[in-house]
Amino acid sequence: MSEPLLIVRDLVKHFPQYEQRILTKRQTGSVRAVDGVNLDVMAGETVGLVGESGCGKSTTARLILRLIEATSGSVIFDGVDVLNADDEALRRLRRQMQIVFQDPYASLNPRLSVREIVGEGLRIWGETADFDKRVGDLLDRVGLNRRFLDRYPHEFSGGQRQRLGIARALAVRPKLLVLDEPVSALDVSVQAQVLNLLVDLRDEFDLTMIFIAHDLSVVRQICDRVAVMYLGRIVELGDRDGIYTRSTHPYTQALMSAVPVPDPVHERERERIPLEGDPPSPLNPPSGCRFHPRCFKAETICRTEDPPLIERVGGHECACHFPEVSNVT
Amino acid sequence: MSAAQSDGGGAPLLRVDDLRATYDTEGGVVRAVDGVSFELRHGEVLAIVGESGSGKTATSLALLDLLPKHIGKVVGGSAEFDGIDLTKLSAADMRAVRGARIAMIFQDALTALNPVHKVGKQISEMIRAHQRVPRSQAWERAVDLLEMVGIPNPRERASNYVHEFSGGMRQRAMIAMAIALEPEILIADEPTTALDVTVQAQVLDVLLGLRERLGMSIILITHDLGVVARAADRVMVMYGGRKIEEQTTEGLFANPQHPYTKGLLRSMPRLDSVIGDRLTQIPGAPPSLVNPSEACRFAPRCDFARPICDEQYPAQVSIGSGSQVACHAAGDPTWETNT
Repeated sequence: MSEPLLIVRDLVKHFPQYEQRILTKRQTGSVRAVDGVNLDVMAGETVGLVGESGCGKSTTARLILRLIEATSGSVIFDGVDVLNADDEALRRLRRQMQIVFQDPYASLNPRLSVREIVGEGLRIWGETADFDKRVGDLLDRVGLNRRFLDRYPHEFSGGQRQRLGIARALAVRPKLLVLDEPVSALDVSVQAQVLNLLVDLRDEFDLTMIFIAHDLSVVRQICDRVAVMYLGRIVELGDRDGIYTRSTHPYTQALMSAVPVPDPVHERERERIPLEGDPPSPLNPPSGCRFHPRCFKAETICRTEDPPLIERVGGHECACHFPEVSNVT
Repeated sequence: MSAAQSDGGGAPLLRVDDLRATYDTEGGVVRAVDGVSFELRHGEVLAIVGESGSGKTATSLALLDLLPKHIGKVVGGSAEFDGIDLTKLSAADMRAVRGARIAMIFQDALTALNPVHKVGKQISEMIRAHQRVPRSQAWERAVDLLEMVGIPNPRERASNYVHEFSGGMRQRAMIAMAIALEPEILIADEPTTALDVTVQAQVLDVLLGLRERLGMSIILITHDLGVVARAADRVMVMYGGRKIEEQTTEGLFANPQHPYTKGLLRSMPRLDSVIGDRLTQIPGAPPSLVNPSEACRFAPRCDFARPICDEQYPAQVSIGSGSQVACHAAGDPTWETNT
């Protein structure tokens, strides 16, 4: 088997918390946003990162791109050590790894024209030959009219802005595209348009994708493999059908059973695994398995021993002492 | 309680007829609600679904005289509730209805609750605004309400401020406030949209449990067809300020009639299956409601449109058992609208 395009090992990000007094400031603890993530991404595949707010999925993506600095761990992209790359190496890496953000309103500079937004990467790399034609071709490619070059972001709808964000990311021909909740701000009919566009572009540009979403239905539609995160860790990792039809971690099962299915007959027969309360604070995560305070199968060992993410049953990796295969969709 | 049981053949609790509301904007007058009619029966959950700008929220704001001041106004139609027309009420009479008999909860609980008062105080003030009860008694009632919506340690929690609550607890607190006076109708506007799915499931359970316990009717405004499938008895679909289809929940999902409803159902990714490589997409974008044409609002995006669709708006056609659809193709067996 070939080498993965991206290798993430023991990735950790702790955000220190301070107590501010009038003159003094002292650290009171740290939010363990990402706490030991391991992930391999093969060239050409789309990996979904799913989980609820605060599970660390967006922070993981930002660490991989080195948009924020990791506390520890390593990220190897195409043989290059991302976390220890110097400025010049990082500049070259950024061309290979691009991101599309969730909020199509906040992520485009309102004072720049479409030409400047989409063409910025080309300009940075000095690729200004046939500039307007190249930017126009990109607009065409994402389904926008190439005559829009001189327009500004406020003239576009949410779905169109998200297309602009995608065109901007693709301008420099990256190998890896990170998509952080790319369709969650869009209405259903527009969401389908953007998801279809991403599938087309993935084939056309040979993209490897990391797709972050809280919407498990969207992830099932677009991803080859799925990593389920809880409190800064991956708790279950496997190919799409394995995760959706043979999930083994009780958190994955509870999460999926909570998603309502748009079919009233099926929906009202489905069994739900209720979860009590909210996820615990990443400031002070529970001992042992982090999910044990909310887990319906927790036993003594779960309170003391942290289960590693290894292959157990069902043909994929799971971090649980008592995994059982179940289809909850 | 299902729709069939709760209907009982009696008069509807709320009968909205040809409701029209507009927003004045810099770009012109937006016809946000453009002739909407529906009925709400005792004890049922009626979902209003539609995309941003379809008029689902404006409809409910218009009912309670909550449209933004100086910008939004009701310009026609009626909303009969227990013999009174809500659209004709004076401000004072509306205050007696709003909150007490028809209550509303919103998507964003953080901005809907007051950050400088204790949660228990906000709920008890709400009670005391409508009923003459001593402060201590209202506080006790607030604690009971917090317990009813599933907040652990309600007595201690009543003394907390909103920022000390998680997102799911805030939503529960807002529900507690809304049901404090046992309203006959609860309007829930995207009540679970900002919540994580596991918390969303808890909050929906609370709402449905209260419906049983208090015999309320619920108008559930949502864009999430999964939530509709789980919670609603009947569904009305809005597009471009108008109602384009109404059916029982089972009927709508099994046999959608309007091309927009069909497209919407097919464009949704599914948790329980993978829909080939590509989703069905509805081309284009929703219409502007500034000076909209009298044509079918969906015609520009419709794969099955014929010349008449660009000329006149289709009448609401009854398709049996209380179901309605507004499409020229409805009832014409030669006009195929399936792909």
